[in-house]
Amino acid sequence: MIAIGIDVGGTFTDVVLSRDGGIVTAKAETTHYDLKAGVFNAIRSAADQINAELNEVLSAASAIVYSTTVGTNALIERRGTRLGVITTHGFEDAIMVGRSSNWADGLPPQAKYDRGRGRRPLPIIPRDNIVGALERIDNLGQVLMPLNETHLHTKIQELVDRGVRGIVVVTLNSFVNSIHERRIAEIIRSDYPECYLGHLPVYLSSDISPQMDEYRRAMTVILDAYLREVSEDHLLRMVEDLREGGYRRPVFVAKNTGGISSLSRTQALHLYGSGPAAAVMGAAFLRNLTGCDSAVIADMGGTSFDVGLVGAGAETTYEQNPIIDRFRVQIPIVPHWSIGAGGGSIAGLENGVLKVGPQSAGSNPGPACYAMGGENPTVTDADVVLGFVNPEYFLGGAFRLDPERAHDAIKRKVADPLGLSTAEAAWNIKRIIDGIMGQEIYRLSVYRLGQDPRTLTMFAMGGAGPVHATGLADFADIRRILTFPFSSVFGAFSTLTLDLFQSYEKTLVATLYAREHGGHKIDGIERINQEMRGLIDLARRDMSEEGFEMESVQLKGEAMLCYRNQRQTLQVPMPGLTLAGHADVKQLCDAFNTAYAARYGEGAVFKEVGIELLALRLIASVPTAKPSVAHSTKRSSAPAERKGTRKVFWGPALGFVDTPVYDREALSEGSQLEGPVLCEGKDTVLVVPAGWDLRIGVRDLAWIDKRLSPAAAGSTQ
Amino acid sequence: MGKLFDSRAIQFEGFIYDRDVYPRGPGYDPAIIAEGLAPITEIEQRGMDQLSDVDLEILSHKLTCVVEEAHDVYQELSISEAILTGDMNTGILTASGDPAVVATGIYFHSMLNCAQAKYILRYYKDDPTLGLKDGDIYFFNDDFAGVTHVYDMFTTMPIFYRGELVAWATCGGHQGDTGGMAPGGHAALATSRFEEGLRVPQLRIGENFQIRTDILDYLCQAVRNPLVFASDLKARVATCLRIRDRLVAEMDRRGPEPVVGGMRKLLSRAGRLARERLAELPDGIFRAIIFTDNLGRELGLSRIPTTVFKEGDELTVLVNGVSPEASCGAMNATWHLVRAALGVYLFSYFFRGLPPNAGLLEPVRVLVEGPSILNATGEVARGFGTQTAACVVQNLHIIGSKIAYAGGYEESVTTPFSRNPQLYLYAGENRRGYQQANISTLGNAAGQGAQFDRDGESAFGFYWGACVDSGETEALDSRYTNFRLARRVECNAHGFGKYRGGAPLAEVSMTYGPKGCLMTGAGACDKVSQNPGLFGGYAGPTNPQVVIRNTNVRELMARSDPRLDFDTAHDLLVNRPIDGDYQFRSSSTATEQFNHGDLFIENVSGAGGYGDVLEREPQAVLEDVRSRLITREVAEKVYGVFITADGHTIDVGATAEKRRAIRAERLALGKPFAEFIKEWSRKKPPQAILKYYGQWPDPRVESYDQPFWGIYPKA
Repeated sequence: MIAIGIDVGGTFTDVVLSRDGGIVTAKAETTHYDLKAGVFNAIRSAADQINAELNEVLSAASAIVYSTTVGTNALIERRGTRLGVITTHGFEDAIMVGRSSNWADGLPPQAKYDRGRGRRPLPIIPRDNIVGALERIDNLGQVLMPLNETHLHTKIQELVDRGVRGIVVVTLNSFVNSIHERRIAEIIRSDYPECYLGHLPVYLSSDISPQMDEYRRAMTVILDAYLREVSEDHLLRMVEDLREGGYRRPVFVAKNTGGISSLSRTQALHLYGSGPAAAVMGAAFLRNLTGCDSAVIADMGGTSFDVGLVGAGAETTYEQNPIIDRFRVQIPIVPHWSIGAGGGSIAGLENGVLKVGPQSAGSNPGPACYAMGGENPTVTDADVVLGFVNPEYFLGGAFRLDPERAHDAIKRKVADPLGLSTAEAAWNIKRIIDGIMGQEIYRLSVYRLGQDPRTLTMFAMGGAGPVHATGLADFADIRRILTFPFSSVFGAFSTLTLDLFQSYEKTLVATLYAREHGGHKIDGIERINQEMRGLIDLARRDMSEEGFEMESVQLKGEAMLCYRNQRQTLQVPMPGLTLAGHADVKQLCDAFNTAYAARYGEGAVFKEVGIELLALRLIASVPTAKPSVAHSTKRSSAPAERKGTRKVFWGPALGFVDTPVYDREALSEGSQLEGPVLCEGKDTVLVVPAGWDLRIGVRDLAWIDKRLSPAAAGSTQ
Repeated sequence: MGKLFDSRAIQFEGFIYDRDVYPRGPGYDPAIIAEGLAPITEIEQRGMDQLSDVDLEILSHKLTCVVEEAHDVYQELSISEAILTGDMNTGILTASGDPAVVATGIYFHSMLNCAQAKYILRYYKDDPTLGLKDGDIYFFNDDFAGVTHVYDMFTTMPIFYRGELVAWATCGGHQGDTGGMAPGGHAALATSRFEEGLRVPQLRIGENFQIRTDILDYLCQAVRNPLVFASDLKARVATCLRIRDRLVAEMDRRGPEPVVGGMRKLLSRAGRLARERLAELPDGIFRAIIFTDNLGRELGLSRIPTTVFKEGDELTVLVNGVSPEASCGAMNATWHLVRAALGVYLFSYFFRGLPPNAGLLEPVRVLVEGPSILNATGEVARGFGTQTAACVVQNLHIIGSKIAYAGGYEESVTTPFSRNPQLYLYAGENRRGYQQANISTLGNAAGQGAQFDRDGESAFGFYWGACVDSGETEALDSRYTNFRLARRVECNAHGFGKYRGGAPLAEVSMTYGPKGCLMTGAGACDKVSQNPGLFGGYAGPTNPQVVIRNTNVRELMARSDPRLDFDTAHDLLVNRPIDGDYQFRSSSTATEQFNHGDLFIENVSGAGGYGDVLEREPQAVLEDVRSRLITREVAEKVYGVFITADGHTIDVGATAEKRRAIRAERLALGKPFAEFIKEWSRKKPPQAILKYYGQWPDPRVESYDQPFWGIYPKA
């Protein structure tokens, strides 16, 4: 049995083969002209490692899970389908204006405050392609103004004349009453039937995202429709290629909701950011495997620093209104946070003070030491100057760095103006970037997870993650770090840990608790249950298409609750899929009060004001076979053999110190090393300062622990 | 004072300039409010000495994380419309009460929520009936004691570390209803502070980290929406506690000295950077003037002049020759409000790129003549003083843009965000059965100012701050008493120029339901715009209140009548497809009942334009017409651009001819400056609108016949 996980990234295409004996990993350059070439090169490379042919591996594979950035790239380049929008007349500007201040969505903090020079993002749909229908439904679903069909026909014709290739319909309050949206769809389909060339696909907001708030609902549907054609074309081609290569089973795609599904059950928007979402779920899998309580992912690459959180227990945290590109949408995704930090973050003086990031040299021209034209000093340059990164062994020696350029850039632009030595300047660059990253992790851990960071394990990933892990851990109050040999292909690995998954959301306003009306209220139960049954029907439809009977599907209901009139909700598990009566309502409300107190403090609880349900959510999942991360075959009690020593700058107090260097690949289970020490691998360097210990555990996992004083050790117990 | 100021500035005798004019009273002390940054304490000095620039950089990020998290908590827990949309602030004050770090939708809050801590330290800490201890919770909303106006409500808590006061956590924002004469707050027609409702200088409402129930009950009883009040108060306390927890954890990690020293150092550093920026810019005396036309109960002109002395590394903003305070409405401002409001411009534009905190104001001196409409005495109403204080900000914005342009900081050169004040306060039962009383969110969809190299964005944000949003219709329909029929970027509603100002969002909404709703208006700019243009650009237009009573809109809606296919509010008002009683009236109105089907039309006008309209690319004018930002009439008459009948191309010949004609017309109107002054000085508005103006033309000098700039002696 072979399962293949594929993750197509901007630079590399990663593949993980999972089979009974463990996993095999491979990388190939991403071939942007035709992604298939990179994918097949990577699979072929993995096949070589098990002495098999490409078609043998594909024929033997029982599952392929594919994670792609095709939607991301199409959105950045604005290469999606030319669409038109029909909305309620009078609100044609709502998509452009949004909430006014949402122009700042997706921008770094300092840019959000620069309102004098702020700009809106390039629109997905030109304003001319948005028309209004004469109709109006109120927030309770009552039709105030019937749809004027004569007027509508002229508006549809306007869109057709502009050459649109699909129409999004998003009318006000359609999430309560979709009668007008459905009628508009009927009219379009009647005018442009599917049996003729040039028919117009119609996307209804009440189908795709039946939730309150028209800007976010519209952007959800628009982005989904915009990316559908380009995503579908790509995926269908890829499936065809894989079939030609010998693969016979369905191809699953990874989704940003933290699961997989077949193509026919996947919305295009769910592909966006599926890689980082998969990484969070993969980390949850590893957390269970290693017995950690909670974990934080610190993925530091050349151009970005991504943080993901894995809380204690089985519940996954979702972001209800995430930002995609520069637009806020309504799909609940497994969140990750990108922070403007990475190996390419530029260091420089601003008003005489050293700043690092968020500007990045990117991968081209990249850091000065890449010798590709970059002249600005970066974090990677600092790592080279400090001795953490071996310029001769970057990416296992595949890419040689120029230490002189790194030294020169830091000296000219930081050290000399500040009157510091180059090493001290580099050390300051490292401290600032570590501080920013560590403090951001602390903020997210305590706020989003509500957990003491001292109980977290940091999963350090990416080429620069293990280099900076101990440095930023000090700022995050984290004391344990885990790195693993397949971290450089963790995205591909993670795709194999995902369950078959669908989620459904529906806005529904119901009062569950009102003190002035005698406490818990059950008069809304039937409506709640009716909506939930509707979501279950959708799950039945989709899972049946996937080939599963409902008996094998795990269903979980969640309610979005808030105190009366609040806008922000908390996600609370339903006692059952439907509510049976007073006791269930009380249990739901109690769970909400408890969750609220845990997040905001006991004093913030205010049930007297009333409790409302604002939305329902249903999650349907089918567990999949998980990858086998085999125990290491090598185990040695003998001390690990040094590769050599290198002068490493460990701060102004210690200066350059001869530091032992080990080969990460040569270390085996049971190896233990005390910091200061460096362990070089092909894709990263494990930097272990004094006061930290490195231990290689089962499955070749590397644990880096802070040595605690007895008092500190006791404080976490 | 500098040489320029000493030789050229006039301060009239008998007036107070450098602080609030009202005397000390119970719970407030203008002398404290006027104090600058407190002296550096011993512990702060020790901490500052320990901190390198690198440490400070990391600490700055940490403290920002703390207040940003608090900002999120506050918004998540609150239910006031204005807080939900970002009209709020969270921050950390130094132990002495100076604002060190803030996260905000509105910058000026961060300078209006600190005098209270200083007052507590000066007068309450050693009072045996009060004292000051860990877990104390204070509430305040009184403008006498230093806040914006009574509608902004704050909570502050001292933060102790190992028994020592090390900082203050603070948070607050626009909550609205105070139980005053207008449901929802902003009673523009109030003539006395006693008509403005709840007024609390600073009140200890809780101890041991808990709100006292009896005090909470008392406060809730004082306002119309007790559940909103209580809910938001709890939100503020939870937010302050979050700040406290995080700050204490940081002191556990670093020790208290570097943290308190770091906070003080951030202020000092900002002050130093502000001075360095000022030193780069050219010296000079700069002037601008705005007139406001609505005083609440009466229409009439008030004069708001501003003179700026830029000398070396200092900036002095002198407001003199200003109209007296007005007893017929709530447009009176305070010295401290003017000072804080100037920070909104300075932080976002003039000192763009520098760390925004109160330290930036250290080299800025603010002198506001009082008693006047901008520095009012104790008894007049002041709840809408923000609108008058903003006129000084507009003046400074225009002046600052000129200084920045001359100094090479072109990206700071813009016209201001649009802000012609027009607030509609709706009250009644919403369609979820809740009582609701609050301002609409449409002011948060103002136009961005035109810039030196491009047009302003339309419907882009709020004049007073970043990150303040205008909401989504579906949520607003379920929360408010009125019901929206259209929200469109308005036509002909921005300032024209080489680069145009951003246009506002205009909303057409309807009273909905048999009970109708109440609406109160607060605003100005019915006849005179306060959205100035720059370097020849037009001002944004005026915007009186518009309501349409007794309409047939329900009948038209019931049959989906094509007459409702109007394009913008401009189209509705010009072509009047809906029958009804169209009323164009003062922006400041008493609370009135409106009935099912009555319509409201609301916008805050657009930002002023930049540069000469004749320099605007004809193609850009065509695009403005196509996107309904302007009519063909404006294209032709203002820009001199003619578009062919099909609407797709420029009529190049006609355009060239028209622009030549306009230039010729301008030349014909030209005259020597002295001649213009002579002619101009003879003009005088009708006496009826000068009732609250003071002496004409200079409010402070009887029978003075020189224009604004004439009051300064020659060098």
